[in-house]
Amino acid sequence: MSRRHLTVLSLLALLLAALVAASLVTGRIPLPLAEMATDPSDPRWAVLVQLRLPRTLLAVLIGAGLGLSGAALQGFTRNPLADPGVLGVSSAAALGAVLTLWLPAAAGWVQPAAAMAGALAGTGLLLALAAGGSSMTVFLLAGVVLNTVAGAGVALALSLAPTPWAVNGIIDWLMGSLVDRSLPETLFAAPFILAGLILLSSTGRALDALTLGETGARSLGINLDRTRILLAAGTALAVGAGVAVAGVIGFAGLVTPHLLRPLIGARPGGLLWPSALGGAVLVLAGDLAVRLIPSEAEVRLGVAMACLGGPFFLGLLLMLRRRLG
Amino acid sequence: MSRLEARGLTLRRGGRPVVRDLDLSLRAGEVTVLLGPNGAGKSTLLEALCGLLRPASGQVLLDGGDLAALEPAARARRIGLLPQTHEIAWPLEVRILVGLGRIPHIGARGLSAEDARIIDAALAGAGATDLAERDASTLSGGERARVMIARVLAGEPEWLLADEPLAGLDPSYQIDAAETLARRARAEGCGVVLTLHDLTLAARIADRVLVLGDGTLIADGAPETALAPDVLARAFGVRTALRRGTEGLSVDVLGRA
Repeated sequence: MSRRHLTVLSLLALLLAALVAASLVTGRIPLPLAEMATDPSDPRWAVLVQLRLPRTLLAVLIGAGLGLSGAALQGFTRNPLADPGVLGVSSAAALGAVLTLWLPAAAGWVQPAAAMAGALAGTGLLLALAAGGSSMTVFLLAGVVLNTVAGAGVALALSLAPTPWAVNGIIDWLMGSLVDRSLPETLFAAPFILAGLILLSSTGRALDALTLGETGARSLGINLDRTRILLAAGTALAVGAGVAVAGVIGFAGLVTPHLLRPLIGARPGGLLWPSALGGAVLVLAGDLAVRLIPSEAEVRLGVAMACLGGPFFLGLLLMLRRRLG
Repeated sequence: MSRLEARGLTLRRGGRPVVRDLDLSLRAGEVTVLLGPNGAGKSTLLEALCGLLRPASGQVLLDGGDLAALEPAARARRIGLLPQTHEIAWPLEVRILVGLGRIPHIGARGLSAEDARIIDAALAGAGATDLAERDASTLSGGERARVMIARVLAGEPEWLLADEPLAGLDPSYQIDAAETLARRARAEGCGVVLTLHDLTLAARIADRVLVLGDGTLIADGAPETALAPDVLARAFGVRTALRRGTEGLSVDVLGRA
């Protein structure tokens, strides 16, 4: 690992730590920690532990999952457009979660499991298409179609929703949000997201080798079938568990690797952990922003990420187009 | 000396038989050049010889053991392949790109000082030292070809299989790269197998020439015999003259057969 790499990783970690601290004390109810520290029975501690802490943890975990899976998918497809949102993995997870609304009185674990199953079906389908040397155009087209079909499925579910309560739930999945997620929900999703991160990060060498194309990578002893399985399972866990709790949050997966390449180089394996940190920074910053934007009802994080992320990404593309060209 | 053999090898690509019932025994320590017209199955045969393409029937043996039974990483340490298409997906620094050749040796650990020395030697061997700090996405076709040779040299394989490694190189670099590959074979005992299109280059560099036509071997032998006009007429449909000058053999293509 180069010194530059370590520097960027440390800076990202510091930035994340600062944002975590800011996130814990920012919101409708101000939390003056110094004042609260003198009184353990202060009711504001409950706000910290039961509202701010899960919200912050979730933003970090979901952001890390998006950033890492975006970097891994871009590395695997050798395409800078790949990301769980663009390729429809997030939508497939949302569709999986939404479909459980029709199950009578499903147990609490069913919905997250269905979201992960949806994400797994989505990534599995895409990576199966990417196998056997079919072109990356086919792969991206398939992703766009998956995104459209899964999105349409969620929209259909919306119009056929069994109860008004379900309509609200579905909208939550369509436009991701971290508001009012409980600590148990967070602790339920965390191990899945962490397992996904570990699976994804183990593909680094294979992604490096894929710089030389599939034949080149295989000639270096890389087992691409294994890589494909790790990637599908890792993305399904990291993105699916995130969507199950917070709905579809876009852009972090797509943008983070692009932001980091000019700083630490384009080696795909080297981008994995920095992208996890970078994704966590972006999502947490976005969530802080929606808390600070003065508005009647809080702007949804998924919407804000798209509103802020979209123009930002276009600007970045304009700057980088010669490099990408 | 290591041996790489094909026994009754039949290879299919997209359901179509490309190589049929081929027997072949390659020896380390020499440069073998594989010739043949477009679509004769040269690249397919190279892929099978380095274990990336499963034979439809028959087998490839490395020192008598079935290549398909070898672990991919172990196989990759012994047999290196330079594919014909020089794909470089990301704008990596050339030294990092060449370092990818070390992947079979390093596993999950980072590059050591010894790896760095090997990478430098590989860059020098391919005449690419001056390109080491460049962004690989800005290289010309010929520069890219040199860097890719360095990449496969960096793996220090016992068997080095390269598909058209000299195409697109300036003559001086062609000579340098050919000499580097020949030295790997003759001085270091590596088995070097190349596909080429340039017949004179083949005549100069090869210890042994294989001519592949229509999925079988038309000729197998020293350049003088395997590049004889009757062989080349059959393989390529051209009239040729094999000349011996003070600088070695050359093949002139005179016209259609």
